[in-house]
Amino acid sequence: MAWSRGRRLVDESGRPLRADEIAVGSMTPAFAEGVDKKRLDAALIVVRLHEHDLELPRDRSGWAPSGILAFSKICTHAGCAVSMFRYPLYAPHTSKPALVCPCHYSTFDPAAGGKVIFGPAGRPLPQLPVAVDERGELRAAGPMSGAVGPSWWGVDE
Amino acid sequence: MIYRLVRYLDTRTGQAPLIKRLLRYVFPDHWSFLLGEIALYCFVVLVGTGIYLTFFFDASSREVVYHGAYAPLHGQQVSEAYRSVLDLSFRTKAGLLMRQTHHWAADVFLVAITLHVLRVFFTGAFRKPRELTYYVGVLMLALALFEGFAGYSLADDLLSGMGLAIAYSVVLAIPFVGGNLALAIWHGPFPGTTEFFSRLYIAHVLLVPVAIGVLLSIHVVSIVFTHHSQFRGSREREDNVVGTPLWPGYLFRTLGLGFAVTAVLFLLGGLIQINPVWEWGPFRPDLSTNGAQPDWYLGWLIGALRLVPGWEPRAGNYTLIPNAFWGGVLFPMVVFGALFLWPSLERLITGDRGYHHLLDRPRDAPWRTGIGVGFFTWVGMVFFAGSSDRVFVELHISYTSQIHVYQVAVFVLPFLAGWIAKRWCEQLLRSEAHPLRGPGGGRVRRTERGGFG
Repeated sequence: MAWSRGRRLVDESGRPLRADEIAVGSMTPAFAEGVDKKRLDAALIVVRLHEHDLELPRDRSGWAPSGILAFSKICTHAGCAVSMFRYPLYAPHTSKPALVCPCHYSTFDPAAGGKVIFGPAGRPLPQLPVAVDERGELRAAGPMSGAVGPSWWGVDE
Repeated sequence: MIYRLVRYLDTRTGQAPLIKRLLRYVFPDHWSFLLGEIALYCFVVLVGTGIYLTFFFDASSREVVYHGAYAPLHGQQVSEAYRSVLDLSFRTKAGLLMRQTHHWAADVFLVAITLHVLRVFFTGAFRKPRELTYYVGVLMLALALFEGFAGYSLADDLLSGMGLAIAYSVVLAIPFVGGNLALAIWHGPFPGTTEFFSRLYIAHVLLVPVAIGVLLSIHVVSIVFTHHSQFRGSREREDNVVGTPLWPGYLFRTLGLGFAVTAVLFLLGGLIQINPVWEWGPFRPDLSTNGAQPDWYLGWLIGALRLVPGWEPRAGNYTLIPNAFWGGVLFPMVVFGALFLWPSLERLITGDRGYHHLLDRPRDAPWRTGIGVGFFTWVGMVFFAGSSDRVFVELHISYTSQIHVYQVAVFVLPFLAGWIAKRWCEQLLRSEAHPLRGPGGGRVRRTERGGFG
């Protein structure tokens, strides 16, 4: 497992990510510190929403400090990188913020903890609980909420 | 000259009668009979350009730092495979020409095979005694699809890596055995180890091409055994073959066609850019690009993967059928299953067990044509659904609405199209008109006395 409590989120070059550089409506790729980037479970997509827009399940309270959400970057449908973030900037907001995979357009709702809202994916995008440490850097607050990567026979959410 | 050659062979093999029969082999004339030959010559070009590429390609996922001729990628971590593709494109003499011609030839190869299958289907050429030829042909179509995919996956650029990620997920999605199978093929979890690249490479340059070559020989020999089929005409009957003999006529025509196909493929490869892998960049599992489209012949699979809603039936702690199974495994199995079963199915339905050397015009069998049009409309709709994202970019039609329309249309349009095709056939059969040129009129003949009869 690439993620356990306390592991730092770093950027492409290995520099720790700080909570205050994640702006609302932005999308930032991140990796597990000290883990091979080619591992499927190493890559994250970090987004920030307004806290009042969050609709996280009750058991995930505290997973998104100041609205910062981290998800596995690997689509649960066919294993491509979920590299698109839809964030409508002006009214009317016809569609909610969403994470989208460019291969088959599986669309996940970050506000609701990665729930599938469109497309072929059968499982939500696994969410990583994050915490901000005393230096303002992002760390994992626990393991991922589910199995990373595409589904197989033995996968259980 | 030919006489001396035959005598030379005969005195050494004693096979003059066979050679004579081969030289006298008769090819009926119709443009649609050339589709298979075009595929054959594409295969020849693929083997030729492919051999050249193997001299320079290095199938290894070992990481190196790129310092080649393409400046924008300088200093990037890339695989040996990707570096060698860039180097053979930019540094090797005629490397880019060969690579692009190889890629174009693969695309045209599959166009020719697909049209050839359609021709064979709609003219009933698969009927007794030609079923074996047909089965071998359908098998070659499946192999050609796999071969093309394996080929562009080898370059290890971003697009090919995304394709492999999907392939991995599809294998993974096979119920019960998928997980272990995928780990066995990739030699570990995706993106796999360098062993996987050696396997893909040996499959692409040896196993599958040899399999296609063997099947191709069986295909051609079984055609010779049963003779070409032909359309009904004033002289063509069930018990004869009317056309041009191999010697001294058809050989030159077909060689001419071969040279023409080669020329067109090299023109395409030399003039029209295809798969500029340096623009996609090297693959990493955490990267992907929008608007990613595979080669055209995989469009039906990407369409199927995109159209299926998020069904993933679960029981207890097991995901019985992971979603990628529907579009990636079940759909192609149904399509190829239908192609393989059709000759027996048609025999079962019509009860027709006789020999057929004369081809049907599509209208002669309205039921078959109707079912065929319906079936291929179904596959075609799924294929077009695969390009909905391009349609969104070009025409700004909402992607989600397109998918919703397709999800209904794939079940409605085939029946509509099939029904229209059947009715059209029945009408044409009554009027004997040409489908495009309309009523042809009767034949007018001048009599000896100067009148018209």
